Amino acid sequence: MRINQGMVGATLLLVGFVASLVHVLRPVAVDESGDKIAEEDIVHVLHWQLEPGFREAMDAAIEAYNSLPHVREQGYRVKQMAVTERVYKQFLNVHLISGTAPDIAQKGMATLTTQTAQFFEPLSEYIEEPNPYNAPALLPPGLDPELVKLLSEGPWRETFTDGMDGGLDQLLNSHYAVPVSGVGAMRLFYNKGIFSKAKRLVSEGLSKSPMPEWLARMELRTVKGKQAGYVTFDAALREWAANDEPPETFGRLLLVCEGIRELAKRENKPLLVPIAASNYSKDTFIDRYLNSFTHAYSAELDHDLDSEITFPETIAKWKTGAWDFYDDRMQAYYESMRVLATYFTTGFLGLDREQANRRFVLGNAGMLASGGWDAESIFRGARQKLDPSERFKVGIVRLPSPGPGERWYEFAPYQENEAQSALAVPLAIYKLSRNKERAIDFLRFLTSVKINEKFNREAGWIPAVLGAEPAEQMKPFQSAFDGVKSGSALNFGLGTYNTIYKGQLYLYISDDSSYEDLINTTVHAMNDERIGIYREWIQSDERTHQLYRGLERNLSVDTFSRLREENPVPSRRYLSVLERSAIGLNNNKDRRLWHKHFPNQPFPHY
Amino acid sequence: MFTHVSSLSHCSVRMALWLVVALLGVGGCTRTDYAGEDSAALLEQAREQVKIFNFAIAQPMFAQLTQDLKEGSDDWSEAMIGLAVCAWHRSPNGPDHVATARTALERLVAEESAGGRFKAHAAFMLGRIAEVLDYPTDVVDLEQARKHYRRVIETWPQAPIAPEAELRLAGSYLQEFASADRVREGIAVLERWLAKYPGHMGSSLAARLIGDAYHLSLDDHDTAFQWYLRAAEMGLLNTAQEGNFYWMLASLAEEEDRDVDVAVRYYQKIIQETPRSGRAYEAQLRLAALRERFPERNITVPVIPVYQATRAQAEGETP
Repeated sequence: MRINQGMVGATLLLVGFVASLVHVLRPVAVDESGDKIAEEDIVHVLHWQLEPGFREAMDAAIEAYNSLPHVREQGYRVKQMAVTERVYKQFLNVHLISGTAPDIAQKGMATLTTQTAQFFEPLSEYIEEPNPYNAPALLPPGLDPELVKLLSEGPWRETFTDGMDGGLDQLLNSHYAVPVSGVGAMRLFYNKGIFSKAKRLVSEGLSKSPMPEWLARMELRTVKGKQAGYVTFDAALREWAANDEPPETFGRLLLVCEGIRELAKRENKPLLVPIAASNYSKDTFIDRYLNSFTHAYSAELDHDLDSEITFPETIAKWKTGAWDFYDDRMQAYYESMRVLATYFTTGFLGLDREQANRRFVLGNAGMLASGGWDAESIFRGARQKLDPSERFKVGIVRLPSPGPGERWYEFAPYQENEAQSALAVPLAIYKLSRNKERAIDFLRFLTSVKINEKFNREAGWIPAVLGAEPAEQMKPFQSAFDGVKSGSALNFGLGTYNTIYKGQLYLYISDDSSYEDLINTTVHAMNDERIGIYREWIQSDERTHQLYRGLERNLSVDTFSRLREENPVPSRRYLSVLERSAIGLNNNKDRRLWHKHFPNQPFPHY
Repeated sequence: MFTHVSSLSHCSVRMALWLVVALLGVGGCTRTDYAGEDSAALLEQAREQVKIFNFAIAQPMFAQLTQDLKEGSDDWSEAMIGLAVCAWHRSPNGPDHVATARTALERLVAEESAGGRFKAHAAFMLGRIAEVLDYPTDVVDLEQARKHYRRVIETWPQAPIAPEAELRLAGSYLQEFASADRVREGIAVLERWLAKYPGHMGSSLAARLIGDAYHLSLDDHDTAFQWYLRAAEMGLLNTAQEGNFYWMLASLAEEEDRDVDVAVRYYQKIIQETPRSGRAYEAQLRLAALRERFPERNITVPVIPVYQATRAQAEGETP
């Protein structure tokens, strides 16, 4: 019998195709009990958090959820899809456009997630209701009774440590995502062994007479009518130097830095530096201390008293002389940063985050500035060394402000608070999802106190919910509420002149240029017609115009949607967007500010 | 354990199919011809597209509906407004799209058989288009905007959009801040608005706008303070901004000892009700200062209710 090879090939292809089709169309998953789950009954959760522990923690939370009686009864399951950052953007963008996006997706990264109203479900109606998974019987014991009431009876929104700001779309003035974790605030990691040795040198030096020169010049004093040194050598300082407490003031931080430098000399460790700084962490210091030092201007600068200092407000007050680069306060700020930078790694501007982290983990730095996201790898690096003698304990402390009796105390007595730190991993519900209610139910479960605590402790992150306790090692990264408001300092804007200013500032703190150079170059750039403050003022005006135009679009769509309602009552959300639009005076707020300060000059044009 | 069987093949097939669809869409195959479609279904589709801001897709749907539906009917009127919404807001915007929007709205306003609420809405939108800057060479025409807002208020006073038209009329005066008379005219409109719509959910907005006008345009902090206080007592619309608003109110109350009781009350509210506003610690400092200045008032400084603080610590070390 002759075999038609072409027919055989075609038949095999057909069989293969039919088999594939059957495979694709049949129920796609089975759970551990062998239940078949149809594709439409799987609630997919997409995110890009591939850090160690996160997926495992999410799996555990999902498993707990999938075991709930009502979930089993309804026959649906939740499943996570973790996609690497490298392709997350493309992956989600394509699925959003194609209408096949997962039911729940992490917002951010993918550009189309900024088109919030188009692709995601507004959560306004859900977040004002209590979270049923926070019923009193489900809460951990020992919570404050008022907190129990808030968690079980208050709006879901209010149960988050940031008031759910991490899920708020600023433009739409509405919540479109549920943040499930916190990354924590910036902190100083310090090597406890190095600190202990450095402080011992300080303590010994303080008891000597005469004091060693390196220590004596740290004492606050007046030399030829000018202040020199940083700390007062009083009993409190001597007591602190003799114990193992970290520095809780800026002056003591500098003293430890000097001690570490002396330690490096004595132990002949040329690689040992006080602070492992890098291009990544430099602005942590510069921005934090700018807020502490210039917060005192805020009452004068905040023209409309809205608690946010804008670039136009900063510049209007500079032009009218309310603040100046030669104010004592400004000089104190820049000088303090320059002094601090003398303890940074040489050439820190050319180093990246990894290099700085490695230096610290190798025991070649006393301190490192970073956040909770680096905690696990730093802790692990410090304790997992082949040679036990090289292992060290890591301490964590806030960036301190000058204390009483210290240099610059009168300019920066308070740290910046972190009360407004927004949470992370915002999970949004896809607008075309067939499982919206199930997705909401899962997100409520994931952000209930017990589950969120367990999830974040396992993941090594900070819980997003009030009353949930983080893992011990993450506690120091929780937001601090004491200190002055962030964002209430001088605001230098985003313009080209600011790039020049920042460049000059880095040169200045690296001791590569003088204060006069810093100020003269900055002021020259600020007054430059092409790149200066007027150009930035115009660009700021254009940015706010886009914001108000966006609000107008939202209002139009909202009123159109209610056009056929019998008695259309505007929602609170609509009215709050209308409020934002109306108080903006058709994008004339900054022009009003201009008119107030420069009544005889027309608003700049470009 | 939850086992996935064929998601990879399934996902790949669907992704490939949708990639083709997406590429076709990018290639210019977006549908624009809806002739012969069922009007009710098409209107529903168009509404859904507007809800998700797909203006370029919804616009030809509405355009078809304006041809198919009976002129002056409610559906036709809605389609005319839908067409205008899409044309006005589609991106990139330009004079042609804005002209399309304006033409549709003017036609609806002129259509005698159309319902008043639709005509009012169209007139209101014409006012917004005149007031809002849409593209770089566009010009704001406040007189024209006022004409449309007044027409809504006077011709269709019962229309749902009428209260907002009146707020916008006030706003058109307030933005002429260089003229104190114009600002006062805006304030007068808002005061009439508050009298006309007592208990309206937007009352605090009207009171706040009056406060802003006195505070920022007329430099009258005493009167501004009174209006801000009224706004706060009416209940703010944007709860996310309550802390900042209370701070403004308390600061003005404390300024020149305008009203120390109010200052104390609102600093305390910042701490107790909006601890995450970023102002709670400073409110404690202000209260402590006031307590020192006015010992006879027995001013209390509440603790910031940071629930995790009892279980957290400021410093730590590796386990």
